[in-house]
Amino acid sequence: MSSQHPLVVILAALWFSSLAIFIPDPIWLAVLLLLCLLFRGSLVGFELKLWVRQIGKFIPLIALVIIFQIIFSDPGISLKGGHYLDLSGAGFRTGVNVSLRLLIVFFSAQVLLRLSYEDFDLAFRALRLPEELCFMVFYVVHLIPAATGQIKHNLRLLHLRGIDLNKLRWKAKLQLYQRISLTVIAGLFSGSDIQATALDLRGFRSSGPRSCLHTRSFGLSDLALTLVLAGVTSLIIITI
Amino acid sequence: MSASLFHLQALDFAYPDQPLLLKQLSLTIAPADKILLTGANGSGKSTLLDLLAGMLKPRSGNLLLRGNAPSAQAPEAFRELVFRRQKAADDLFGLVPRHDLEAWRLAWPECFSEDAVQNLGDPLLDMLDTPYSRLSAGELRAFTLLWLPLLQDKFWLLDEPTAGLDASRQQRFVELCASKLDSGYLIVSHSTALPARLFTRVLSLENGALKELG
Repeated sequence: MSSQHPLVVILAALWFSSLAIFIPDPIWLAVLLLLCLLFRGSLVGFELKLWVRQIGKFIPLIALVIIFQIIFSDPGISLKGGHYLDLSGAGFRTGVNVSLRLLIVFFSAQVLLRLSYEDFDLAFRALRLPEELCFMVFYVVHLIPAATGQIKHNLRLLHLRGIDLNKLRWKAKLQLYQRISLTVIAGLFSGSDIQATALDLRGFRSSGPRSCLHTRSFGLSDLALTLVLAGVTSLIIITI
Repeated sequence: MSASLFHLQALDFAYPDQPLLLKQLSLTIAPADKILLTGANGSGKSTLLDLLAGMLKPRSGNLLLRGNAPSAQAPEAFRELVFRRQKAADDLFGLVPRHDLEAWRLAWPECFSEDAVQNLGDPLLDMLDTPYSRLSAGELRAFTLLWLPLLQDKFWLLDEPTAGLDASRQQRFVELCASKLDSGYLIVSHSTALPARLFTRVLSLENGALKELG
């Protein structure tokens, strides 16, 4: 995927998502989001149109979070007071923070999604962790995208039959959504079963040293990225 | 309404980070055309079908279904088509064939009445509640074709429809095609089970270009 060792990529993605949760300052969160985008861009390319589309999909959620925080948070600096409603400045700040956190976690998760099973295997092997763990983590990371793909596929099947969900009555619509969700859940379970059997057949539980087709050593770019992350962490600790 | 069903002009297509698979394709398909599409493995036949069904978008050029791009069409535009892919399981909705039947019934209540379905008289109707995971590849394929007699007036886009079918089902499929009068089909096939009399046009896809063979 890139010149970076997969372990460093995974650690960096975890670093971004962990800091996003712990940092309280919106400016630092904005900087972190920028760094996260740079990190993702340097690994998989700067697909600006895709980023705009992805952020666009978050806008309704972001708006909703900010509105709810403004209305229901403790006042802090009151934006607009009223008899029934007191709009909160602190709520606005919390809303912005939550939105930035969501975006950072989303974009760092997107980096993990670009890693193949082989990448996860290389990363876990570098830590001398068992392949079972690697399989479980890889499967969980890909669970939501797999489910999303299956939902889209099922909706597409209805589209190809000429069924417009928007024009259906609620009862029919609910029945179709129930069918789709059952199909997706069943598909995920049976998929994990097949994957686990495939791994069993490859004998990954057998004793003795593990063999591997591809190996990867850490390079200068891995060291550079680690130093940058360490530097930013120190800066955040000093300034906050 | 446009007289042609599909109209392709100077269409190019490539998968991401891959060389061009389809180059400058131009083709017009009328609703009554009965077309056999042949070509070597990997020549892009299934890809062309995916493009026609709006599953993929061309890189450049025009591809129109009744005057509009299939990928941008509302579901209503697809009511004129039946699309069946190479992998049968990809075309079946839900967990069991009954779910698939109910989805078709929702789209076409008058065609898929209980009587019409029972009149098909196919032994597969006894397996409507058998999960797809317990059906063989041939049975899955047969289920994707089971409803075609009720969809005779649609234009069929079928990718290797006879693959995995036993001889009697292949024969029934040939008879079904031969009796189809209301509209046409485009069938991708390598099978020798489909006689030349079923087709009014034969197209071959070679090196990304279409050649009309007859």
